[in-house]
Formats: sequence, structure tokens, C-alpha cells
Amino acid sequence: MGKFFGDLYDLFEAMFGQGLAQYLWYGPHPANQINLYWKIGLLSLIISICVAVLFYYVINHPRCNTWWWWSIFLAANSFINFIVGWQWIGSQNIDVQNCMSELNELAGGQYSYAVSPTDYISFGWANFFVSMFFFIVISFMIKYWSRNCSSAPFRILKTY
Amino acid sequence: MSKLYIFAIGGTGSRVLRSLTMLLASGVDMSAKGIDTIVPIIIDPDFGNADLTRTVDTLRKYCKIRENLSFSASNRNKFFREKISDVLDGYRFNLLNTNSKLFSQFINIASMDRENQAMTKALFSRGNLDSNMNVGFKGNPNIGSVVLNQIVESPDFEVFANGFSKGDKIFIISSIFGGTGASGFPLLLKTLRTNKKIQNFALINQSEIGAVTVLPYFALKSNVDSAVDSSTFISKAKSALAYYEDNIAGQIEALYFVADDIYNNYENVDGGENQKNDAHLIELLSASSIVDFSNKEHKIGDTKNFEFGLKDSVSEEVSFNDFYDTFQSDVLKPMIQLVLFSNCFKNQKSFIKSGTLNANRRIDNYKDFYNSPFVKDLESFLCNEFLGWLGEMNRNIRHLHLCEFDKSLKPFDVIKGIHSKKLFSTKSGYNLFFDRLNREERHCDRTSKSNDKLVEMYYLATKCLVQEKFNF
Repeated sequence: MGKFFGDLYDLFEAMFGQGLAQYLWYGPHPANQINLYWKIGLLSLIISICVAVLFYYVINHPRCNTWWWWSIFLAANSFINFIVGWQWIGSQNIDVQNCMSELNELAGGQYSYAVSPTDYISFGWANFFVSMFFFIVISFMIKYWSRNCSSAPFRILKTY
Repeated sequence: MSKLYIFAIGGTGSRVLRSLTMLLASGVDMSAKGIDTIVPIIIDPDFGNADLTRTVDTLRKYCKIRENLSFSASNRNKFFREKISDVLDGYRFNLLNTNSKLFSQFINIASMDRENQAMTKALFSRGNLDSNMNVGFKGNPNIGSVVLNQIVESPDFEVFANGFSKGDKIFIISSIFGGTGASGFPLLLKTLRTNKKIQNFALINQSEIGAVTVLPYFALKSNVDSAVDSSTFISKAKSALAYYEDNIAGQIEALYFVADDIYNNYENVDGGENQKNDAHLIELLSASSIVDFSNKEHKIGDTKNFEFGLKDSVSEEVSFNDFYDTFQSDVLKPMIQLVLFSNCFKNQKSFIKSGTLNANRRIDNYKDFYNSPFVKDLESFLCNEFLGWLGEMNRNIRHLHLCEFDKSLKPFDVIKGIHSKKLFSTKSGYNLFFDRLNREERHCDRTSKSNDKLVEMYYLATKCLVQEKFNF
């Protein structure tokens, strides 16, 4: 699971930098090889499932069966996950110096990576896009059974 | 399956037939005893009578909508389910030799010898003899009884008699206080029961026959130019009732009497295109007597008389709660379903035609479909014919205040005197309606045509809503 999420987030690695990516792949102690991507990935996935279920089954409003209402929920989900991603990575209390030292040792004495607080916001943006992907996939998986909104964002096939 | 032949005699006959058409559109069930086809036959020499032409127009619109619907076993829709057959052109029965003729010409008084002329002049006034047959019998049953006596000679009667099959029933609608209906009913009944020359006489003679006799329920404004005087309605009704008492019993299985003692004053016109009266509660009740007759089995030769009663303390205004339970469930409930359907089309037109309404997802090319002649005909019937008819009954006296027209934007506040239940739901008003529509659409027959899907999903949704919101 960690690898799946790691590969997904790596698509946006250019946004939040290699230093943070390395930290998330290997954890605070690289020697332990603890993948942290699964935590934030799973959290984003659960939030996306909740928002999609909210849209298709809880609110399930007859007038929300449009692409733009769906887009509002997509945007809301992505925004929530942006905040969650940003705050989650901020809450990890990464000891930048220590982390970098260990990374340095692994990298053969070179300070190849750097992590700065702005990367946290960038990671929030990465989470924004990953959760957008989750929401789209989940939407198309569950929409058929929605009574009022199964045609949102659009009809894929004639449904009979 | 069998047919129910309905002879609608005179202006009242046409107006009752119009009310029956609305009941059939609502899905009122008439098939409990195997009747699946209604065959209306309008007997009225006044072909230009606006009440008649309007009824024929309504019948045609009903049939046009119905012919675009199919009713397979898997389709649970009851709106427009009953078939109306037009065995006669325009549902009208052609009376021979009445076109553009005076009554004196019809009986050919000029060719009579002097004694017969004297006798005829003793029986018929100058006004009677100079009456134009084109505008009916102007409240003169003595003219009607002569003219309608030749009914059996008409080719249209042969069409009726030839088409009559075992199990078919006959119903006659007439008023007792006018000319055409008062004279036509006993004559027609006598012909059906005793005239052995008619085709299929054995079947017709042994068939169940019912009739509704409408007693005075409106008055006419005083008009010196009109031949009709409403002050004679009561005395005419009394005479006719006395005649029925002696001559009808045993010939008919069910005889319904409908009357009212609160009158509206209609414009006094001698038939023609100006005779266009608003629909009336009494006509609806008369139409419901046909439903009652159709759904019961009757013992041949055993005459049963029926009256219609409302609950006590009824004022000039009648609403849902003034009717007894059976009428509420059998007649008013389907009508309320159609009111919900009609109001939805009237007030939420743009939304129900859009792709946002999820129920449209199984309708082929819904954008084109909602512009199709079928949907336009349906919409016109619901919004103009049906709601218009209810509006007429609402403004007539006595008022039938079944619906709150000014609250049409709140779909469940439409029934006068009935508070809709609050449901445990995040949706209310039309959003609840659409939610149920989207739900019931999933239960519709998926193989049926878009026309059928549309009407079936509205039928199922309104059926569910009247149960949930009104506990019907």
C-alpha cells in the first residue's frame, strides 16, 4: 500500500522536493525504512470516499445531478485534503537537521536534499491533486447506485 | 374482456362524459368486472353545442395520448389505462332527418289530414312546431320523445348493435329536467329491452343496463328570447320521475339519481356554440356512478336505485373531507395523483425536461423527447384540460374545492383541508417529488418506450407520494 501511494505522490515530487519525498519513503530514521506515504495516502483516500458518499448518498439531492455541483464537491474534497496534507506533514515534527544528517550519511556525505517549510505547503498541493484523482475514481465507482445523482458529473453510457 | 357502451344524451350527457374522461385519465379503475373498453355514444341533435364539441375534443385528446402508450402486464401505470373506443364518427350518434329542419317539417305536418293536424296542434305548441332540430329540443321532452323514437332506424344504432358482445354492459346518462335527456332515456331503454328487430337483441336484452338520471342542479337566467325556462325544471323532473316509477322498474339493473339543491344561474342560451357551461360537481358524481356500475355485478331484472350522499353539514363549498372513504379512495385519490402530475408539469417544466432530473437518464434523447408531439399533447391535456376542468368545478356553485390552486408551487399543500405529513427526509416540496420520481424510475419496465416510461414513473411516484404524504 505504501508503495502504491508513494508512486502516486512521486508524480508530484517536483512540487514538494526530493528531501521530503525521501523522508516520506524512509521515515525519520532511514535505516528503519518506514514508508510514511501510506498514512497520508490512506487518510486522503478515506476523506475522498467520505466526500463522495456524502455527495452521492447522503445529500443525494435531485438538483445536484450536474457536473458543476459535482465539481464543487471535487473542489471541496481537494481543498480539505490540501489542508490535511499541509497540516499532517507539519505535524510530523521533522527534525530537518537530523533527518538531513542521516540522509547525508546515506548519500555518502553529500547534502543532496533540503527540506524547507514551504515544501509543506507544496505537499498540501500534491495531496490536493492526489485526492482529486481519488475523488474522480471513487465517483465513477459508486455513482451508479445513487438515486438522484447517478448522472453526475456526466453519463458514461446509456444506463440500461 | 368486455365493453361498456355509454349513451350520453343531451348537454348534460356530454358534460358527464367529459368528467368521466378526466376520471379515466386519472386512472380510476373501471375494470373490476372485466370492462376494459369504454364506448361513448353521444346522442344530441345539437351538434354545434359547445358542451358536446368540447367533450368530443377532450375524448379525442385522451385517445391520442393513449394510442401512444402501451399497457403490458409489466407496466403498472394506470393513467390513461382504460381504452376509449370511437365506434361512431366523432362519438356522435346521427339522428336521421333532423338536420336543418323544423319540428313541423320533421313530422311532416303538411301531409297530414285535417284531423291529425288538429291533434298535432293540440299536443304541440306553435313554438314546438317551429323549433329547429339543430339546437336540440330546448327543454321540450314531448318533441324529444317523437324525434328520438326513430333512433333504432339510424345506421349508427346498427353499428352499436352489431358490435355488442356477450358480457358487454350499457349505461345511459341523461338529465331529467331538459328535453333531449328526459325523453331520450326511457325511449332508448325501451328500445334496448323490447325491440326484437335490432341486431343481437338476445345479447342486448340480457345485458346489464345502468343509468344516471341527473335532477336539476342549475338554473338559467331569465331570457325572453330563449325557449327554455328553468322554473319548469322541478315540475318536469317530478313528471318524469312519476313516469320512471311506473315504467322503468324491472327494465334496468342500476338507476342512479344525482341532485343538488344549491343552484348556479347559467346564461340562458338555446344550445349551439354558446352553450358552454363550466364543469360541475354533480357531473363528477354522475361520472362516478358509471365507475360504480362498471365495477359491480348486477342481477338482470332486479332494479336497484342509488343516490349519492355527502357527509353532514356541507356548505356551498365541498372539499375532500366532505366525501366518504370509498369515494375518497376510489375516485379522489387517483385524481389527486393526476393533480400532482399536472402541477409538476405546470410549475417545474424547465427542470423536468432537463438532464438534471436523473429519471430522464433512461429516456432516449430526452431533449427531443420532451419536444415531441406526445409530450406536448400530454402537457396540454394535464395543464389545460384537466386542471382547467378542476378550476371550473371550483368556481361553479356548489364549489368543488378539491385543490388549492394558489398554492401550486407547494406540491403537497394542494388538497384543501388536508395537511400533508412531514417526512423524515432531507428533501421537501418538489425536491421530494423528484427524489421519488428518480426512485420509482428504477422500478419501471426498462424495455418499454420512452412514452410509457414517462407516464409510468409519474404514476408510481405520485402513488407513493399520496401514500406517504396523505396516508391514502
